[in-house]
Amino acid sequence: MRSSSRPGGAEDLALGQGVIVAARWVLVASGLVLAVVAPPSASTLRTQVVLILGLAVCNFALQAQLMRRRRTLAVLAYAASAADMAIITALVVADGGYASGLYVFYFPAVLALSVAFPLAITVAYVGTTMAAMLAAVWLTMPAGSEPDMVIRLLILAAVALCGAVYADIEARRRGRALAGEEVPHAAAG
Amino acid sequence: MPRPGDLAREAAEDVFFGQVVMIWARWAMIAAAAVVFLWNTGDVGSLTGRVLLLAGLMAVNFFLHGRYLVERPANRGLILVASVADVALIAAAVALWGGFESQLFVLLYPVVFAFALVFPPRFTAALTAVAAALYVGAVAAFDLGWAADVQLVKVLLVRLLTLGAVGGLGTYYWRIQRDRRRAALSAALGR
Repeated sequence: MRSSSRPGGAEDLALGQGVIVAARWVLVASGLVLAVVAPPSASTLRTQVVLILGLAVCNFALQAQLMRRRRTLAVLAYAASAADMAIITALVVADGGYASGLYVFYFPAVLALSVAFPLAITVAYVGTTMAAMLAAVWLTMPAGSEPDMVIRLLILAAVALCGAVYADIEARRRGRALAGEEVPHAAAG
Repeated sequence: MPRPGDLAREAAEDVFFGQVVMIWARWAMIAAAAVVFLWNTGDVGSLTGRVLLLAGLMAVNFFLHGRYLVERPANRGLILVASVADVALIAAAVALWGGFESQLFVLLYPVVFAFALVFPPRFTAALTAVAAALYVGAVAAFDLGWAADVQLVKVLLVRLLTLGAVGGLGTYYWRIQRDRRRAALSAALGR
């Protein structure tokens, strides 16, 4: 396998795409199970099933592309992740806004894109996701819930930060390995 | 196939290089704790106690971050203990302040994710299981009223599922990066 040390390159996107697809399968599987177990109303169930099955079909297409080792189209990967965030936002709105427990699906989704996308695009996506997260609950937020909302947003950013920092560390480790450089003494344990 | 010596060295390097991710995750946890403590606490007595707890957490993380910056990072054992302590602290905070209603459980996500990026899968699986068990225990210790409502049980299940997913996805990415690094090393040695 050819290995690049440049973070955010085509290889990072291709390999990170596997993490994004896996995260999306988690969303599809858990979302479907939770939707059909004791649904609160028929309209909620209908909305949730349509969104989740639509996501499953798109993800199958992306999974097939990965399995056939086709080149990852950056535009397609970015559009699919934007669709993920839009669908999670729609699920949260349909489930009651602030009171909905479904906002936690943002965390694995942001995790996956933070390790796959270049830093600038990750920052743009996380910023947009935070705005969407806030917009989805704004009208239904009870008074005094601001600290909870700040914590949700802060932790979403923290998850993305961890992913981006780790991707950068690994790119530098790989660069050192390719150059045949010695690692610092303390790392030898 | 890497030799056992190479594997041990690789694991040591994972801890050496990767622990800064865990340090950043803990800074996020401290920032969130500061938001809760400073925003929500009204009386001086409880605010003083919470500020002291916050200062203690910051001192520990300054120590770990400082050691990392001078290239003398904490060893594997200390990091493991610190991660379990993080998870236990979050669970204790949930048990004390709100139980099921508390949003502090989200602090578990970066802690588990950062851990998964540094430690091998069996360690991550163990920490994720401990985090999930402690969280359920904390929620149950505060109040069991939620258990009678199937919609609330579903919400709890979603939280646990996504926590497991974060641990699993972190491990998946750790494996991808390990394979890439090994391929780069093989390419360098083969030149």
